[in-house]
Amino acid sequence: MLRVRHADRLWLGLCVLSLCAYMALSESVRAFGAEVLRLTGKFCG
Amino acid sequence: MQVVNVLSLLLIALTWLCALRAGYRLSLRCGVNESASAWALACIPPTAGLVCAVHVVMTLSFVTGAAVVTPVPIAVAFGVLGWIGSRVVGRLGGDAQNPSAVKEPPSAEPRMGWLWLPVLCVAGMYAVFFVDAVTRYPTGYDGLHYHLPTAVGWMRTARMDLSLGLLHQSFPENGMIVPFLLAFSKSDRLLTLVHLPKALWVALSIFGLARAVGVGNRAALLGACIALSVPIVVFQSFSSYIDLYAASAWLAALLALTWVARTSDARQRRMLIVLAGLSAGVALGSKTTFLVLVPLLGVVAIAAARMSSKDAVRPGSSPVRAALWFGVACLACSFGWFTRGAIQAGNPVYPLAVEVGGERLLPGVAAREHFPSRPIVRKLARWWDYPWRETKHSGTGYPYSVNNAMGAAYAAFVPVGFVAALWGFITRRERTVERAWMLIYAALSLTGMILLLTLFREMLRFVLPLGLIGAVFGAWLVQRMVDRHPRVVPVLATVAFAVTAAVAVLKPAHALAGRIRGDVWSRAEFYEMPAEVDDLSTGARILNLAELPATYPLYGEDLDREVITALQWEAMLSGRAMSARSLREHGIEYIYLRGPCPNDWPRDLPVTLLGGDGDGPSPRSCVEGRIYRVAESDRRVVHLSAAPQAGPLSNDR
Repeated sequence: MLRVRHADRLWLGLCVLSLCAYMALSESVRAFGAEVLRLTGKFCG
Repeated sequence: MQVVNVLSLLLIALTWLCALRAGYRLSLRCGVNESASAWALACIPPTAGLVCAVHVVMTLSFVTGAAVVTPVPIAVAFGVLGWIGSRVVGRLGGDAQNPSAVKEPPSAEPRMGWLWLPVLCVAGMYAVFFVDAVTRYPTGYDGLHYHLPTAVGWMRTARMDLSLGLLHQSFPENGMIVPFLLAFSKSDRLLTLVHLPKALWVALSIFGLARAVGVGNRAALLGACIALSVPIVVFQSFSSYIDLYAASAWLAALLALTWVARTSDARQRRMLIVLAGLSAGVALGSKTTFLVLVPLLGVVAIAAARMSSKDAVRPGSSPVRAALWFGVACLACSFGWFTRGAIQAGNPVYPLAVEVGGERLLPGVAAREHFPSRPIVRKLARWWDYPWRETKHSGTGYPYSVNNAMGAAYAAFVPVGFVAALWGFITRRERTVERAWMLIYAALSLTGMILLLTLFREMLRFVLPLGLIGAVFGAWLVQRMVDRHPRVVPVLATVAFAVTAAVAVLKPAHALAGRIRGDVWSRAEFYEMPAEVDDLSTGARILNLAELPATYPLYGEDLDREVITALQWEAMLSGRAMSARSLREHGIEYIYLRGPCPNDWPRDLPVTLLGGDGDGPSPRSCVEGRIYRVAESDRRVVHLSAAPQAGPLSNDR
């Protein structure tokens, strides 16, 4: 039981890590950020 | 629009709905006692029935040589097939109240709670895409280049002939049957939503596939959301690509096979295998890549037939018989394309060449002629971190698109879920049906990865159904974690889905805002064409020398013109240079151009600028889209074929 609980915590940690890796590495997130900055710049000035 | 066509389309819609209802009852009779699965399988009879009806009429047109592929014979064939289907189901016996069809008792599963937030993120994302889609015209490079023009070509000629030598116009196109029928309604705005129901079908199938491995309703719903949040899925739901159409049918076939192993009655098993075969046939007739993916389902069908459910009357059934039923049903929804290829090209799988040991046995094109080949090590280096990087390896532009990206929710849950499942296989030795299906899903996912790097030449959307199976591993992992971490898992899921939704909706929201701000609502403005394009006469014959996706927009709102692409024009010229004579010979009335004129554009071409910016009749540097009218005296009135080898296109209908 204890092993299962530890394993689940491990998988949850890996999921969080995986999402963080996505946020840090994804070209889509980067392109989104660049596009939002471009549009904001266009809108403001 | 002719009244008889309107009535036929209404009859087809009515038959479809009746078949859906009958399909649901059939699912219950087959012992499918879980609602999402029952509805997913209920979609198979109407979808397969319509496809089969079109194939019957299409084959009739090949055999008789008559142009009969119109809504009237299709409605009749669909009605007859529906009647035959209802008789067959009636003979199956039993009713919705049979013991194996009793609804599952309400489970003691906890309520959704905060898990509704990820569902709301996905719903919001689809709402933005929906609003954008209903206020615009069809989009998608492949769709505008050849999928939709093929459907319009069928509508204009009442035939579904091959275009020998023209690769793109010769593919199997089950996915274009509904757009073809909608083309008779002369409203191409409807075409933007045509694949949206397929996304729902995928969601139902993924939910059912997750339930088949023992996942509860909450986690299965999250699995369906993971599949729906995949950018390729959401973008293709509102685009004219057909990968989603084929993937939805393929996944429904896999779902039917999971139920084969869970039902006890031999007749129910046989019926489920037939349903799986029909759905696999719909996928097989949608895209040539399914010549590889559907046989995988054949293997699964054999495995499913061998599995015994807990309360099976007799263990398993003959794999040979299962394969036979599956194969025959499969051909019922794809035979038209094979017949067409065999009759018109001497190769049932045309345009795919058949080669053995480097020697070409049957005509066509090989994949290597169109896709670059790289060393496997380089491919691995490009793809090992794909779910997190989402590097666009094919095409350009924004990373989230119809052919790229899997999304943050997929990246967060699926790779970890897959590894956790593999770890479970190694560390625990159980013999349950659920575990067997997890193994089958894992094997299919691994096969998808191998196919992506080998046969499918790194085209991610070609392995879409195998990639979407990954959502089941995500659901399975959420199931494991959510009870022990009831707060953290919903927060993690909400963040992941919110990120995917935000990145995905940027493009449609921006495009919609741009259209509102610029008051861009006309077809010509939307496609960035001169306004004169909207006003060309019915039946006008237009030569498109601009980019290939300009082909569909040039058909006009009523889809009543004839468009010849640059590739078709090249075939028509057969090596000669473009001249006043060639325009006259082929009855070209208008020429559409964008960018500099072609190098072989003669200075004395008898054309006048009708619309768009240009510095005279033969500008060399203009980048705007422009339409030229060919001088009246220099063209014949008689129209020839757009596809020279495919028989004449008649303009008198």
